[in-house]
Amino acid sequence: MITLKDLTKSYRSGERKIDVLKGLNLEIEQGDMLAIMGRSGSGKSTLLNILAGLDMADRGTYQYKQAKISDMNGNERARFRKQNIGFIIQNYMLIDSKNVFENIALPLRYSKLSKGEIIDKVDRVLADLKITELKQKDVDMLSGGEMQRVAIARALIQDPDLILADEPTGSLDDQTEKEILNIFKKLNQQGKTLVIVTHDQVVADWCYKIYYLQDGKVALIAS
Amino acid sequence: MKMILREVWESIKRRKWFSVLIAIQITALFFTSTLLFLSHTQIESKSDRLEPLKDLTFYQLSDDLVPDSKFQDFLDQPDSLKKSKTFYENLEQYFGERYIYLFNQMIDVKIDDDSKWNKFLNGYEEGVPIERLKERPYKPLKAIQINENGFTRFSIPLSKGSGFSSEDFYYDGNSIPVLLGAEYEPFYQVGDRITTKYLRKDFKLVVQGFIQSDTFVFNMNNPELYLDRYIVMPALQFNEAPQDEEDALFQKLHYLQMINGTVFSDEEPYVVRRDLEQVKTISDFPDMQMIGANSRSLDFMFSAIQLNRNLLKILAASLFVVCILSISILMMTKFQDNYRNMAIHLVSGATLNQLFFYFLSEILLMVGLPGLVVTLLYQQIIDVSLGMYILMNVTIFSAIVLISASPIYLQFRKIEISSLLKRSE
Repeated sequence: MITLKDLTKSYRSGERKIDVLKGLNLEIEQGDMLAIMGRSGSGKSTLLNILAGLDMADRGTYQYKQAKISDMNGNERARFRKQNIGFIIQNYMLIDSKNVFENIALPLRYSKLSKGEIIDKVDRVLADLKITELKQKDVDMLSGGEMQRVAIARALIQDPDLILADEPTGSLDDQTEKEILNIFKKLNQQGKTLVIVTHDQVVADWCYKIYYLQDGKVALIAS
Repeated sequence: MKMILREVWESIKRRKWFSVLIAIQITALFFTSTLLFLSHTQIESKSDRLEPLKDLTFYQLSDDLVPDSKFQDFLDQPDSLKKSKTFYENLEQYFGERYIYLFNQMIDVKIDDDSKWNKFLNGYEEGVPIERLKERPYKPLKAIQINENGFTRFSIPLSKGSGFSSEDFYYDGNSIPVLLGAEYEPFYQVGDRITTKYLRKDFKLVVQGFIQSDTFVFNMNNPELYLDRYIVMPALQFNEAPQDEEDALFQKLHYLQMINGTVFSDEEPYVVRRDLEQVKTISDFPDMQMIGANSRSLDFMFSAIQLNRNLLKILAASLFVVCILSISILMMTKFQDNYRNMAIHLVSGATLNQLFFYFLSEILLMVGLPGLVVTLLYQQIIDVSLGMYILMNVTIFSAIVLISASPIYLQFRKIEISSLLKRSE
């Protein structure tokens, strides 16, 4: 499904050049559920951003099914993101001025859907995640677990094949963490591919494959 | 579109008082530029037209036939008409183009009772009850009489028809050509005839043209006499001898008015006084005096207008800068505050261009809405040179939008999505 070949990425911090990815290679199969671990600053989030089409590698190729993402321009990558990627960002990342419905519906606003279609899709995903009662609530009235469910709902609203999650349970208690991981498991069983960036070994243990990112390259450490 | 409006509205709500303040500033800027535009268009036409008179001093002549008994005694003299007529002719001959007669003498016109005529009635602006002004079949309408020198030197601009020729200043026994103020345009056409009484004598007026709106003239009593509601008559000269006593009285009154004109001159006062004394002597008309010299009054008037215009310019320029600074600061602050929301939009499928467009739309709305309101008000209330006015507002609008959107545009050019996501964490 995904082939990353010889990816390199570096950043400039003042005069200093920091190499984050150094010829990274990775294959992800359809239906995989994998964790990417590594120390802070090892390039986990950079890798996730490249997978999401939010960032570009300096060199190397990124192939998603038949499409060569590394050759796409900004607009093409935005379209790719819209059609294929569900992104769960660290710390939920919900817009405070919008209620739950509006937060979940946000990606659909960038598609040409009617109001009715948007409502149908949001209702369906709310029901799947069993949070229908939250629909009209303001996000600042939600608990951490509820916010993460809403963030997952937003990631799922376009029915993407690939779900990327950056520290999805970072600020949750154990019970809620377990519930969220169960949702991920269920999504994976439905055929979704999940790539989860985490520091947490418990989260990584829920995945079928664990990669460790070090020195700009990934290594499979558990399968 | 809905999406853009929703995002812009949410963004405005987040810092609504700052946005309201900016909207007020922009409204003030558009109002100031409107005043500047109006003063500019008016001053330009005033300056061009009155430039020849600008540097002159004007001296008001006044007969000395007071009290009423003295005036009556003069009228009773058998040669009083000849004297006043000669005096007038000598004034014109000695002073030449320096002598301007511009007198504000109402005329009585037979019009119906329709309220549309009210504003033309002599006394309307002064608050005289309308019923009193309309109590007789001939209603008193505002009118001025102007001699040929006056007409030439004030260069009264016309919107329709033709001005007075030299012959128009001599009564031929038929109709008198007149020019009507701009506000008469809906009610008369060139060639229309008006039945009137001027100094109680019946005359037929024929409309020869219409004066451009906002045209003003001046004399000692009126520094700016706007002609929009006036009938402008030539100050007639009568070659024919009066037909009867009534006609003689009319001509006497008429000529006694005509000698109370104004001398416009750049000469020293004693030179003007000396010339007047000569005219008095050769005309055998001693009852005349120069009652005042209005030195450099026009200069003062023009300086005042110019000073106001400079103040307006400074105000408009300051507001322009303040508006741009305020919008730029607001947008940069929002940019800093909104990393998180921008990141959410990006992962939801937005592009950086779309995000920039939200900011741009907010600026367009913040500047465009007050601009539109002021333009519509201008169209409804003033509606002068609308095309030029709209062009000016579009230029101001574009300049504010372009300049104040530039810093935010540069930010978007510089930013990398990865750093946006990093900063949003």
